[in-house]
Amino acid sequence: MSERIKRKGKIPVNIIMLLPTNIIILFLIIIPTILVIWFSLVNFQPTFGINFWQSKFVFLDNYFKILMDDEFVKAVIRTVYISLICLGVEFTIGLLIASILTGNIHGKKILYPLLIIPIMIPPIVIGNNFWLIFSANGPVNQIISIILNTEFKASWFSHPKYAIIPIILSEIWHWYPLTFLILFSGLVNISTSEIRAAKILGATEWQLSWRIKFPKLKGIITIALVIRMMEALKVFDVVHLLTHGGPGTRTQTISFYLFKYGFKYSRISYVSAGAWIILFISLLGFSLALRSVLVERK
Amino acid sequence: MPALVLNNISKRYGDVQALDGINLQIQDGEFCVIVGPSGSGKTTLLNIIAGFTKPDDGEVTVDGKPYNQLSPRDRNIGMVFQDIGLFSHLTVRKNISFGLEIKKSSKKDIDKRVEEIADRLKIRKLLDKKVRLLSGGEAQRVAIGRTLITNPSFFLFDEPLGNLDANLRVEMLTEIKRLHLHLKKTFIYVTHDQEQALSAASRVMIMKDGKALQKGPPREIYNNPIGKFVAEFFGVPSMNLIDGTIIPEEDGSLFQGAGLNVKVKGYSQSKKAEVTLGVRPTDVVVGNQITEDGFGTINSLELLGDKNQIYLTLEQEKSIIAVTSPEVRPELEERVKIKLKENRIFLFDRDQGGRLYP
Amino acid sequence: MSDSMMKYNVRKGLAHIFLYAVTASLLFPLFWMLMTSFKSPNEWVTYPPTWIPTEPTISNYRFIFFGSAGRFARTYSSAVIPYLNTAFVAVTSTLVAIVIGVLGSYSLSRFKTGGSLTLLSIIMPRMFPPMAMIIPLMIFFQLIRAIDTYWGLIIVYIGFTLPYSVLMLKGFMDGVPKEFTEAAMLDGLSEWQILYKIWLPIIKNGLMTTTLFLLILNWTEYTFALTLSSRGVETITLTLAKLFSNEAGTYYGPQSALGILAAIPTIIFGIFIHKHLAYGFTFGALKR
Ligand SMILES: Nc1ncnc2c1ncn2[C@@H]1O[C@H](COP(=O)(O)OP(=O)(O)OP(=O)(O)O)[C@@H](O)[C@H]1O
Ligand SMILES: [Mg+2]
Repeated sequence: MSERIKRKGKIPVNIIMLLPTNIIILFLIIIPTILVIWFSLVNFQPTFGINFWQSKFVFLDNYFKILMDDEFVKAVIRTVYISLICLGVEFTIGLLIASILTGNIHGKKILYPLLIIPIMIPPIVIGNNFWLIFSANGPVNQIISIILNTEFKASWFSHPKYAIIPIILSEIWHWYPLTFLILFSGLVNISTSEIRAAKILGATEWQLSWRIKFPKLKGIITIALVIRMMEALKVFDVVHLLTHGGPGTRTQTISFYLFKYGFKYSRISYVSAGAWIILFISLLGFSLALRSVLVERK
Repeated sequence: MPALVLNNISKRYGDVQALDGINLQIQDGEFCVIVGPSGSGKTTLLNIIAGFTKPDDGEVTVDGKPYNQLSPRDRNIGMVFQDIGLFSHLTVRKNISFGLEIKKSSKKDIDKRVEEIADRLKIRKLLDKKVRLLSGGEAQRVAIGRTLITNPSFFLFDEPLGNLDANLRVEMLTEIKRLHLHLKKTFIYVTHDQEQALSAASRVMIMKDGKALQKGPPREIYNNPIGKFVAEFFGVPSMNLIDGTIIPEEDGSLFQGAGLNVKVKGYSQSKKAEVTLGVRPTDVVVGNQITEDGFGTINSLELLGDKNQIYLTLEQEKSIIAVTSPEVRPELEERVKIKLKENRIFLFDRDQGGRLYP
Repeated sequence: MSDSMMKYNVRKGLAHIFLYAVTASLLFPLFWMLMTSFKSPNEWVTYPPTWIPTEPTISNYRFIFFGSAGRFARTYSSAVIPYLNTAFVAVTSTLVAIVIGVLGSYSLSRFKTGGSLTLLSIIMPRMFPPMAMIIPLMIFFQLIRAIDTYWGLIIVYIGFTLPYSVLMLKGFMDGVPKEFTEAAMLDGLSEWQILYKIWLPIIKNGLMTTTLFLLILNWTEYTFALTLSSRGVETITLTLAKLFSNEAGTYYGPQSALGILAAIPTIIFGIFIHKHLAYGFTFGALKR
């Protein structure tokens, strides 16, 4: 093989094939990333009228400043907790549906694609969708009124406490199919004989889940978690559409914070430092999660 | 009282009648072998006994208790699956101990039992290996070990297709027979290879297309097959089957086919008929001093020491096998006389396969 | 019927009811949107809301197709152009990202080029907050005059879906049995031929899954379109957001109609690939 690809004087074919990918990644991702590093270390703001390469080098000043910024810290914490709630609920729903659907269910073939529709819908449409059902005169208020048997007419999106709820729900709605899909495929993939062997050895349903299914799914569950977390940390579209981070800053997520400070206030350096802090936090989390998978595989 | 009774078990999958009215009674401590070609319903039957599959019809009874409603967990059965199905995320030790660990037995008991079993199956060295790294034979031993730990009252073995070579199969069978002698429990063993069945079983059931064609001790099936399929399927090498015509004579009948003229004294009927004659290779006599039924050309010769296996070609390119004593040593390409032992001949209906004679 | 049989049937019945109920409630938001898209203006905000439009109308769809003239406070132009924009940008960038991704993933899967480092550099960007990437991109794009252009947006879409393209395709390609490649090498096929004639037919489903998945990603994209091209290339997501802003916030009917129209293609793509999606998402960690 190596002879085939390393003929003298010629660029090996595997390098040629990877070249376009590398060029694109270089221009659209690596170079901007390096720029972000530079921005985060200088004091650059387009409105100053100074080019970014001539901006004043301030070292870690931006990092300290943003870490002291209550609004930023709150946005980070809020994003993390939104993500955790979403993950928890999505896994519960996903697992529940997946385990029922692995059984002998009529109409399985139709239910399965129906259940994963939300993941295919544009986030902005989802925002719109939740705007409709949570509007003051919408069906959610109507149903709550019926259940409580009193008139209930919240304006969800401008309520300081409730505003976050439609956002979280829309996120959950958008993403539960991911966990469902992955868990379902994982469950279906466990060999029938292994399940049967455990049953005939006397395992209860609970033991079966805990000792056979879960350990076998650990790897893909971690992958699902990481992918989901990656997306959760980016929540933007829905917030931008529904609440603009408001009322006040009550529904401001990391992405929305970066958007606000980057585009409205042009605080480029500030935002760049924030981005690195977030990348650092997520890398830390993911490497811990992924390490357990990689170690497992070896 | 029989330990296990299968009463009229039937199961259908769409268009396929996987099982069609199976009846079987297995005595306590018996070694029952189920043989049959691929797709004949063997695995389905085991799954019904174990409780993984619900029969459409019929009943499983164990020690007089109806088993149909019992979940597999409560059946106290040990099963080795066709694809073995070891817990791939666990070590060999954890695989074997699984049955006790879920019962929350003490660590000491578990370790003791595991080691006992490992010693018996000679897999002590493998205990801390990941099961992914095991060879086919080793994996099967571990699978057996895994079933032993809970002391089930009977055992179901579904032999893996193809992933054991012939030698290993024989070795495993010897192992399982030893286990059977030691445990004195009821064993049901599914195999594709009836040579094994012959040597091991106290009873054999031959299946085809979901039906039990014949049941009984292996010798009896060998000597007294009920039809063409069983006759050919059961026995190594297979029974020779020769198509021909049966012609009525004064005292019995004359079979003509592939250049043979065989007198069948005990069989008489009124008119000519198309039949298939069956004769075991050991009942084909080859030599020059005999009054022949016909001639054959020696095609090839296997000298096996205690016996010779001779491949002959008759007229119409029909090949048969003869198993003779080692003294019979014809030359290759030699034309020899052939005689079929008179009272060891079978006649079968050519189309239906049913036995006509004896 | 015996007791345990009965229990079994009851449990099974409950499972069915539960699952159907969950499915129905999960589809409720979509149902609501569909219904609203057929409601006439006076029904948009009545309370209690009507679940099924009393006088179904297609005027909302007309609004989307022809724009509004006079009836509403502001004039909105037809959404046909944004729709075509979206289709053009999404399809083009998807095709390019797939071609590049096929080559890259083949190199990674077959030759393990660069080892896990290359892989990491490909997946890393997905973890970085896109919002932070946009700022240097904007500066860079202003430099090369790519802001508010079709090709600028297309390039960005290519770049940001490429990681998915490479990783998903690599996951599918890792499942190609060695023997096929070895046989092809003995036949003297070049690497390009092996890729084109042997691997691609084998991973056909994977290729389709990845393509449609990228198409969904690009079709639904909002952030880049908003920040990098909103004044030059209006995509469907931008139109929807525009319909939303300020005084238009209660144009429930047209919003719904546009939402439905925007979602239909992606739902169709998704239905096509739903069988292989899970495998693609786990980048081959899941065995089939
Ligand atoms: N779950 C199922 N769904 C549909 N058909 C099935 C199912 N299980 C078995 N069958 C069919 O029932 C028939 C009997 O299958 P079974 O597995 O019992 O055969 P077998 O004798 O064990 O074959 P082998 O020797 O190849 O293992 C086959 O035709 C098979 O296709
Ligand atoms: Mg079988």
